[in-house]
Amino acid sequence: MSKWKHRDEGKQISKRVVASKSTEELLDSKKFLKGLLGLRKSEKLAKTYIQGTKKAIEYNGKNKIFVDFRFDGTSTGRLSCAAYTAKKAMGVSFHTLPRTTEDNIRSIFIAPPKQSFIAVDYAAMELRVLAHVAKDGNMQNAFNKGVDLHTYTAKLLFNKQNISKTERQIAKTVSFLIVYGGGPFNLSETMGIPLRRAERIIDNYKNVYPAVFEYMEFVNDFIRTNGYAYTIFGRRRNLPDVGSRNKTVVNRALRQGLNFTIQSTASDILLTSLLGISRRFKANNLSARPVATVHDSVEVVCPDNEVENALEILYDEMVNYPTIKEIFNIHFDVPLAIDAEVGRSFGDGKEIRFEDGKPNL
Amino acid sequence: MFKLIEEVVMPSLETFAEMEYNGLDVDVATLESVGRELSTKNMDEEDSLYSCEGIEKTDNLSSNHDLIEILYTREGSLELYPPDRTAKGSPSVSAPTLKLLLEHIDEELKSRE
Repeated sequence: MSKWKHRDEGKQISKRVVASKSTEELLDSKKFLKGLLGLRKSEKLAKTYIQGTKKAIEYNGKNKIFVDFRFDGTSTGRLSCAAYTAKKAMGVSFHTLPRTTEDNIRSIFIAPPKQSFIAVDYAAMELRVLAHVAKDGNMQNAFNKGVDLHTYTAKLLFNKQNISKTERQIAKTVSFLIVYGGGPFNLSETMGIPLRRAERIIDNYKNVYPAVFEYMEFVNDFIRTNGYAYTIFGRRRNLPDVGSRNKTVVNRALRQGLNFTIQSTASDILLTSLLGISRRFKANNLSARPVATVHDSVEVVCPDNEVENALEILYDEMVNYPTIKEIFNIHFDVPLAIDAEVGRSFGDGKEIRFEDGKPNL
Repeated sequence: MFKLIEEVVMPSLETFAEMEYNGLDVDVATLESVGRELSTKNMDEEDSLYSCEGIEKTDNLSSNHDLIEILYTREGSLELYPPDRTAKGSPSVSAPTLKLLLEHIDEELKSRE
């Protein structure tokens, strides 16, 4: 408590000190602080990825890095991965590679000569899973219409047609807060809006997607009664903390449980599709092979003349999910969608559009 | 759960074993050039930081001690007030604190417009 009080005081004094400075001084300070943050970020990138990869290559004795995929690395059943070397702290974890193309870190990973690098990503996977498991008609409607979910949400949330960028961002943040178990406090912190407004927005969200909140209640009640959560794929996470007398601990367990039902489902969709993909590659005598999987994406390397064939299989397995239907008899109420890129390396891919399951190359 | 293990996880092991065994190809030339770009960028950024008012050539920008001096204590440098402290009570120079300072400055600048 005293720490929070102190933090608040520090903030107030800091604001007063800032207010006492001349505009010129403030602009100087701003320049310095921004530069310092930027410097730290790029130093970290250089150290983790460039130095890390160099060390791994040196250790491996060839221009390759090896990754250790772990089925038991997370409690949600999500796959995790770590650098695979005998010595710790060597190599890079593929899962933490920065997404921004700005620094081109991803483009250091390439396909062998005369081969292509295909990266396929499930689009808005966790929210699609949420729409399916919560059976929310409104949210399913958005996905079925194929419109941008966050703009759609923002329109309903703010009850108007023209949505600003910030409003879309707020809608997006609320949706993810629901999935990851956050409240008005987190919304006001991340978006820098007053707490009252954040509360109102979340209340509105309840009217926009009522079934989502009914689902949350259902999951919470289930965890409270049974001490565990489960997913449609049959994965189960025990949450003994729910029996605690400490409210914070109980709330954390409930949050973890809710998040588990969504994140784990998303992860199993990918895992099952990946199985189908590699089976189909082999059955079709393709030399295409998956080289990695990062969260909601699959990375494939294949000879240039197999790209079209491989993309068709990827699309079918990921969007029409025959393997999931066959094994689990699960049919989703919302369509699954993918973003695909093909290039020479992980980072330089060109976006590919599909028409009736056929890639537009 | 058994279905998941028997029909998905176990059969997938082969795929994962292959992925782990084959590894990922790294383009050394790109690695070098991206590395060079990054370090040039780093050096440029560092140079522009040293050109700021009140920063001395002897300051080490990765040392927390020196940063505390630059940001908060030294006369003629930024002379801000630490909005947050570390668990041990010394002024914080962590990224969230720096962002907080930036926020305060932005708010103030906005109110002056």
